[in-house]
Amino acid sequence: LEERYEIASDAILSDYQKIRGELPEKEAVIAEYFGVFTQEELFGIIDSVENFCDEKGKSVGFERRLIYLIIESIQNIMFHSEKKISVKPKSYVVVYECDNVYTVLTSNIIETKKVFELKKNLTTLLSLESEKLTKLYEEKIQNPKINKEKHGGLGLISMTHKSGQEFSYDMVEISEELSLFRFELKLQYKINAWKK
Amino acid sequence: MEKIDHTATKDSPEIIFEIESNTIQILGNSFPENCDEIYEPVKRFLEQYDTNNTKVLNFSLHFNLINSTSTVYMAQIICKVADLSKQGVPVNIKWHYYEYDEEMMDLGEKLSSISDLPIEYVAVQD
Repeated sequence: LEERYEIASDAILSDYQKIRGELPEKEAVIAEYFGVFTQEELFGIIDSVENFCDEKGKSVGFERRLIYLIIESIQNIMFHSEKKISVKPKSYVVVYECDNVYTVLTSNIIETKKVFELKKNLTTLLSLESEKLTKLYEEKIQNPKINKEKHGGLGLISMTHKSGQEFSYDMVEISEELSLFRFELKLQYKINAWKK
Repeated sequence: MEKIDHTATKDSPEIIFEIESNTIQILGNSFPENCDEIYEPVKRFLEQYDTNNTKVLNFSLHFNLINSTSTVYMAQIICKVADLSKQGVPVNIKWHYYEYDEEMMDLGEKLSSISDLPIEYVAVQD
């Protein structure tokens, strides 16, 4: 299993290099990381985003929402990475800005057998009308449950909710067992839409 | 009674139980890896709370950044406070938020909708 994850990590690295190579020059990369994620890497990325938003004079409200999306994206990778192997699998995040649209792009390895279910969930979340999505989010809060992995199971719903359903995803099969899951969230900065 | 005090870190809140004022204060960031270690003691504290205590049980909550699992834990905590209230324990909840942070106020309202408990909203200047 470890060997298969090593091969998959190489695929993630190739994907990361490809994505970085394809970003146009005018896009400002705010933060990026390739490797094994821990809270320490998350802190570093949050610091970079705070500095960038401060320098650009973005509202604190916007900054908070962007950081929220980054926390959920990265913790989604951390919490769902394979625990049975001694070396944690590698993943990446790139946070960049272009024409006031902020993108949080992550890619990690998932088990191929989970692809169908994940696709189904994401397709449902994308298809929901905004009001229904809000209702689903509220229902989850009103019936709060912690799962056996000690998580709230609210991450994907809240990311979809807070990004205004501005997300896309891609899944590429690396082997029968493992696939690459790329997830891209977008958040537009609209002047006057955010307080302070 | 369960000890719930927790020192704040970069990703976890300060939690204090002030005995004299009978106040539980939760303040700061809440996006740790181990939400259970921080919030399960608070849940147990509420489960073990003496329902004959007539003193008001105060909650002072002020989050900066909060992740989705912490949100679910807070919802569970509000449910437990509501249970105490139903058993006759007087409770008071103050939800603080930075004045620019409408989303945090909105989260307080969503948590409030779990029960009939009134939550007092306090806008704080940064």
